[in-house]
Amino acid sequence: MEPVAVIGVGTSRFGKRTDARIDELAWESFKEALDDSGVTQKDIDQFVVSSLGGWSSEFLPAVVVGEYCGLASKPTMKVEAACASGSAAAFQSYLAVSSGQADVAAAIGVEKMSESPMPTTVEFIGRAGNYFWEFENFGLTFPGYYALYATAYMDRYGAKEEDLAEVAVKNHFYGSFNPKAHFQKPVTVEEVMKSKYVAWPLKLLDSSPITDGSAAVIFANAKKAKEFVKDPVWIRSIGVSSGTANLSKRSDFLSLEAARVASQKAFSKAGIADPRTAFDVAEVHDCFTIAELLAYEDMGIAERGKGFEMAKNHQTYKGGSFPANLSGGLKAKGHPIGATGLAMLSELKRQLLQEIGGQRQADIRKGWALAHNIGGTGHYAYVTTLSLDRGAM
Amino acid sequence: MSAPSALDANRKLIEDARKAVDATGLPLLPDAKTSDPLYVSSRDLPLKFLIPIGKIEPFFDALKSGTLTATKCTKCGAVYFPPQADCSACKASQVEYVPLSTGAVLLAYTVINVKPFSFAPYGDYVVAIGRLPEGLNVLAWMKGMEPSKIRVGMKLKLVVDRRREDGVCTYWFESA
Repeated sequence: MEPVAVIGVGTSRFGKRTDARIDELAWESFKEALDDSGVTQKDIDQFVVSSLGGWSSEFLPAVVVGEYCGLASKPTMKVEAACASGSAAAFQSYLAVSSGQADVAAAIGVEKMSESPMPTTVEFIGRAGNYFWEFENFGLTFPGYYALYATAYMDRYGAKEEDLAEVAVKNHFYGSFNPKAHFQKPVTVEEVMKSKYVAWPLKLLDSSPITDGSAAVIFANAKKAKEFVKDPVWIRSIGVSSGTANLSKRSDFLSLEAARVASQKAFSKAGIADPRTAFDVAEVHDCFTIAELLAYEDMGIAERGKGFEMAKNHQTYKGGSFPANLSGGLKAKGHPIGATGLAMLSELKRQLLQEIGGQRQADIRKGWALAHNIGGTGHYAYVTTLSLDRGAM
Repeated sequence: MSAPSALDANRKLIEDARKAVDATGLPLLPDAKTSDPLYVSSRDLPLKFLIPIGKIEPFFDALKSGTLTATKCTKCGAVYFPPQADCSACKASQVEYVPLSTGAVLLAYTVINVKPFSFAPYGDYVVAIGRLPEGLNVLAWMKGMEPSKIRVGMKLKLVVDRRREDGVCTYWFESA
């Protein structure tokens, strides 16, 4: 197994990007990743494109993006793992490099969610579970799926809607310092509480927005990493798991089992004994506020039922025990489905190298970072650990 | 409050794009918020799926006569809801249909306030997950309760009937 480095990252500006087509949007992040790494297209052995689609016109985004980015003729595929598609693209690239199939591999995530009228996009996301048994007759929506977890969680642990709102307040705070974020304005608990319900008890400001955007990451083996960059960041492990399509098949609604399994795999492989103290910074999947609380608990950062207290006590702000989503998270930075996982890795590489600076730069002492990316409602889970240290291979 | 229908939104787009073509030769419209120029696609694709149910037809026969059933593998006894014609545990494909209990306990629920456009004609509806005594969960609507009175842990009963709004045979929970 070859060690795998992240040698270049890029992200587009996130938001309602009616100024760019899907291939143009992908180019923004891919170009940035080329510049960041110093590689050119000829150095890239393969590329994987992550995109969910349905709401956008191009049916084969991998080749559309590949042609525009000057990658035609390279091996490629599109991958889908719902909201974790970007991490799936990273995983495929990681496998290619670690197995020796590729020296340099690119992962490009892109989503053009505003290409359809909003109700169409809402409809598609609502079908992201089991269409036949749970959508056809019961019309769930994406917030609806997570709201089921929220009601069970609040009932069991006594969390209040105001506690959930703390996550939105934190992530909007950091989004306000991120010039590429979809939302760059702070919000208060009161504003979250006053926003309208989308799926009780979740409100508009508990929810990540419908966002266009792209993110790209270039991976390389040790030899190529050394050739191109002086400061690579290393992928130390990727833990992957999946959950049932039907929510009715879940044993409880207090935790995402796939996230628990994926994180245990990732921590075990990276030799992390205590995840509570191992990381300087994390990006966790906060498609809804409740999801970020589940993330803390599913990864063992907080005890079961105590995640909301961590948020309330500001332990997940910069300077706290587990700084999470200093990018603004999906909540404020935006959640262009296929790009999100790669945007997390882009952010974490820049965090570890202290390239972010300012208010939202984490203190880097241990040199480790963590990405937690969930597809659907625990349908897919990808947990990735990154380090400045290559580790013994 | 009536939700904006995607069909209405599409109809307006088609009309406006047609006018733009008549006037300029191209279906270009500015985005309502950003004013960026957009090319409105002219190849519409209504989605209608034809989903096979032949392998679990007895489930639908029972549903029509008012009973919700699970499949039970006649070889290893594994029970499946939603029903499965094939047992992934022992690889057998002989199943029997067993009626589900009609009592349940509420595990989780939500009120769908912002609805998918294909559900726009319905009022806000409650989606609930109930745990049956046999250990299976059922996800369905919950009817006849003020959302503010619903509590996790409350007792439910499972009703199988035609839905008033569209006449389709389905199942839902009510307060027991």
